[in-house]
Amino acid sequence: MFFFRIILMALQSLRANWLRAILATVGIIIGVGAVISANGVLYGARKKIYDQFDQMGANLVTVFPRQARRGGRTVGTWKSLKSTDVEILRNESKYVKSVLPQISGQGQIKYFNHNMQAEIVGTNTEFGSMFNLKLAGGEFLHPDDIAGSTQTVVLGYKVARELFGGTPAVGKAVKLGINRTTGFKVIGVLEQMGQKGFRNMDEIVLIPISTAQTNIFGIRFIESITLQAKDQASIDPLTDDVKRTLRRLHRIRAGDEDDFQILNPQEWRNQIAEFTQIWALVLYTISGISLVVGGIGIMNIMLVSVTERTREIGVRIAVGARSIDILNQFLIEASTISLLGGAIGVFLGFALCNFLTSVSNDMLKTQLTASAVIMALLTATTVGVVSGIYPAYKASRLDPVEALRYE
Amino acid sequence: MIEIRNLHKHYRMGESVVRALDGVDLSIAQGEMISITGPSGSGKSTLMHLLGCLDRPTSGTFRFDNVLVSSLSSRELAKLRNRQIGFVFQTFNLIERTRAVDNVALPLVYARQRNTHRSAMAALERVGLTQRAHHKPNEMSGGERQRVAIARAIVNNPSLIFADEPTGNLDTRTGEQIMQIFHNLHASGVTIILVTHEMNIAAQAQRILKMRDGKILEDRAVDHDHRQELIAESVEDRNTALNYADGLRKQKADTES
Repeated sequence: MFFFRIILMALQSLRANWLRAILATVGIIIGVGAVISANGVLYGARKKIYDQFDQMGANLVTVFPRQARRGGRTVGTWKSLKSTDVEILRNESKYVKSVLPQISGQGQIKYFNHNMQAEIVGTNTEFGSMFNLKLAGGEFLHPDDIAGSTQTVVLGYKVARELFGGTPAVGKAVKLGINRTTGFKVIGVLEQMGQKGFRNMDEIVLIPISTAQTNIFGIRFIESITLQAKDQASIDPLTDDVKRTLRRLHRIRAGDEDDFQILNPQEWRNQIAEFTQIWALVLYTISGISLVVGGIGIMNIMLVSVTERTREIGVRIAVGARSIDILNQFLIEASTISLLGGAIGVFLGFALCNFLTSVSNDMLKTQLTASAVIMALLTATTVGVVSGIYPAYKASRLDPVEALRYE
Repeated sequence: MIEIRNLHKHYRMGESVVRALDGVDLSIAQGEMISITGPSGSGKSTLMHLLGCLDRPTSGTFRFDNVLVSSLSSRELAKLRNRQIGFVFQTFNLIERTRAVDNVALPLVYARQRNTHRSAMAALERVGLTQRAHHKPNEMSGGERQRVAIARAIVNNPSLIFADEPTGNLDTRTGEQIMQIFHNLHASGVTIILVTHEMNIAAQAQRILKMRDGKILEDRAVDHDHRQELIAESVEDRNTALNYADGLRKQKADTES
């Protein structure tokens, strides 16, 4: 009850000078607002990336080439992954369910006077099953297409729609390529799938990997190999198997670096979490500086307040206030100002998050967590208490006789 | 009630030492009404601060209700001020941003009492100001403010009230009304100590202490004749002052014409 009365007194004195109180908390408002909005953006972005991984397909391990260095010289190249690796990887590990080589690039696809840009993906028969794609018509790539390097293509939903309108595409001949186009036969059209992971499945065209290598991209290597583990528990042993097999195939000696890198979903998540944390730390540090400035502002205003109210403090002591009562009153005032600034900061941060979400057309869905709000308010209150200690101590140590004489 | 022996209060002002109180002996019984008078710097305010437990003496003993005040901790002193002593100041010393009733309730808050509103209203009733309870000090006249200050001083039913020039900022008629409140309080058994240099106010007490240079020059009970004498003196002083002021005004008018 007594504590409540002290809080009430603190609020009354703040109300008497509310504009000054608000101005004193600008630093806190900016600091907390920055923490809240930065937190919202960072964790919103992280969630979006996580969601994309979840959509990409379950239990996937992806191998990319990497330049390895041996004795200071670059030895491996980004050409390190070969088609032969794919078959060996498929047979050497008992944990693998399917293996998918890929090459991709932006290219052109034409059907008479209709033409558009699309992502040309050279792959094998397992692409559809690995990413849970469904056919609107026709069929997926066949093993014979891969083996025979046939000029066949499966169109994404949007590609088929742009080129053929509503008319059936399967069986028709299109032309596709990067610099110059060659004829392909449409053997299938995908259902509308939308975004899957980092790729819009409606804007791709799938062709046999062998055809992509020889006829489209003119290369002998492959860009990535995606392996699907049998289950979640198989991800780590599969990663070990892939590493061991590729080191043997690529003749990498013990102690030398890999000429490839393996990313499993957990590693991706860890890397993103680490990245988010680093950015969070940077942003919190910047916000922290603002909070320190805010704290100095509050200390300043509280010192002014103690001087202005010297006589009042004398009266309070005369009517029976103890030093600790005066100390508490000014501490509560300082933390109330700070908490108030924190609350305004939370509100501003929240508004900024909503604004960013709306201007990005929901591309960036900011995520405001309760823990961030609680942390921000707690920090603001702590800043208030810390910056109020000196003024409150000064007030509590005033000599009542001097204070009552103060003009 | 109050027993002080050889009380000294010295201040250091640069190189020199100011003896604000220089060996004061005094006894005050419960229920007395005393005036402390003297010119500025005579030590009357210092004596009031020491007796009001706002300050500690340099040496000497001070007993309040047989308790040696110098042995009390600052927390116990705060409690003593809160429960036993009320202060009324010349400049009222009200907290401007809060209503009259909240100003009156302040000592109750520090006494950790729960239902402060009722007691504060009762105190305002004793000074005849319930109708102004919800007004802020800046909406009140000087007399009303001083009544709020008196209500604040009596809200905890103290046994002793100090009034430091309580009518100093008020006109004569309002001053008389305020003095009447003190007389009523005195009649109800409260000890009143008035610190004033206005003799007509001082004369209303039962006993007058005259101070000079930190010492009590005279400690005298006021009988009827003495009271009349003091009032006459103060009226004479007042007339002399008024005549002097008139003279100045005339002189100014003459020079201007």
